[in-house]
Amino acid sequence: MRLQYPTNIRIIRTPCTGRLEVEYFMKAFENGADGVLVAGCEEGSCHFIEGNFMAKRRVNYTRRILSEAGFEMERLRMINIGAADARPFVEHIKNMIETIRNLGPNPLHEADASSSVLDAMIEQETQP
Amino acid sequence: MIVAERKTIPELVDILEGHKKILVLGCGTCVTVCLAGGEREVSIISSALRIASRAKNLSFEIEELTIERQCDNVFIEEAAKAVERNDVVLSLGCGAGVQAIAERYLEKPVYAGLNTAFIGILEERGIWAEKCAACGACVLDQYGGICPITRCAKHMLNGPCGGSREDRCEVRPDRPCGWQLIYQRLKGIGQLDRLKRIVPPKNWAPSLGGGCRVIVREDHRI
Repeated sequence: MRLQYPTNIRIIRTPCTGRLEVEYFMKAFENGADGVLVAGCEEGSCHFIEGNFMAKRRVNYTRRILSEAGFEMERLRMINIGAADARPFVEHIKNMIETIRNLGPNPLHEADASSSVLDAMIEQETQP
Repeated sequence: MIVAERKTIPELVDILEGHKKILVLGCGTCVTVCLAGGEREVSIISSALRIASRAKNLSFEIEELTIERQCDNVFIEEAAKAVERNDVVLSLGCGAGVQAIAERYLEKPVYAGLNTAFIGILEERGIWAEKCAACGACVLDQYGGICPITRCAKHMLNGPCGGSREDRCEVRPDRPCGWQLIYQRLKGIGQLDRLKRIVPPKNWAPSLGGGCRVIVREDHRI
């Protein structure tokens, strides 16, 4: 298929979106992430029965807190997508990038983001 | 357990505005179990406050700490250094916890980050319901272990009001009628005859009417 998607995203693997906690999203934004796209399995096809529904509720709760804190909640989005759905995956990513581009950079982003928790997580994730 | 829920972030910002060094202090007991003020909520609320602070240029410096129990002097001691380092404390304990901290650290402003709601239990995942009003004169023995004070919207002591629809309360249709529950329970344990007794008006003196309630146990005093 050789589909291309924007290179300015980083993929963080998780065993299941049900593993994600509200704190993770909060820390990601606090540490300068411009946007977080949670890609869970399609509703009804979670290997762990309801992990993606748990993630959906947590994403919604986090969006509410972010909004209360005066932060654009559009920077956090959840989609449901099958593991083999390459084309929709690319479309969703392009769409998210477009949303973030319109919003601009994360207003909380600090110059010294190199030591952020998020970068440490990514570094750990991408180590061979 | 004591059940509480968090205040909104704008409410907290309003309370904390003007302060710089803030200790967000969680409690590891009741409010941890009801997911309102434990270690995890301390982290989430602190993150939200830091985000709000940067968004609104408030220059909050937030430290996070959760102690085992805020309503107990032994555990409060563990927070002493952190309290000293900061200008104010935002307590995520229940009302008792907040006041215990305030009484212990006289020179620090202590603010409540939660609204303490009631004494209750987890009914199902994510739903807590009131079970006890701490009225000070328990009548549960007469009603099969179901409290007519908290479970009946009208606190009826001598039978149902007659307004329930099916088994639903007429005041709160999302809740079961307390008296329906009492009847079923007494029937189940073979004590329906208890309902024939006329219960006199409840003595509310041990409740909130007489000011701050205090229990003195001479056998435990030094």
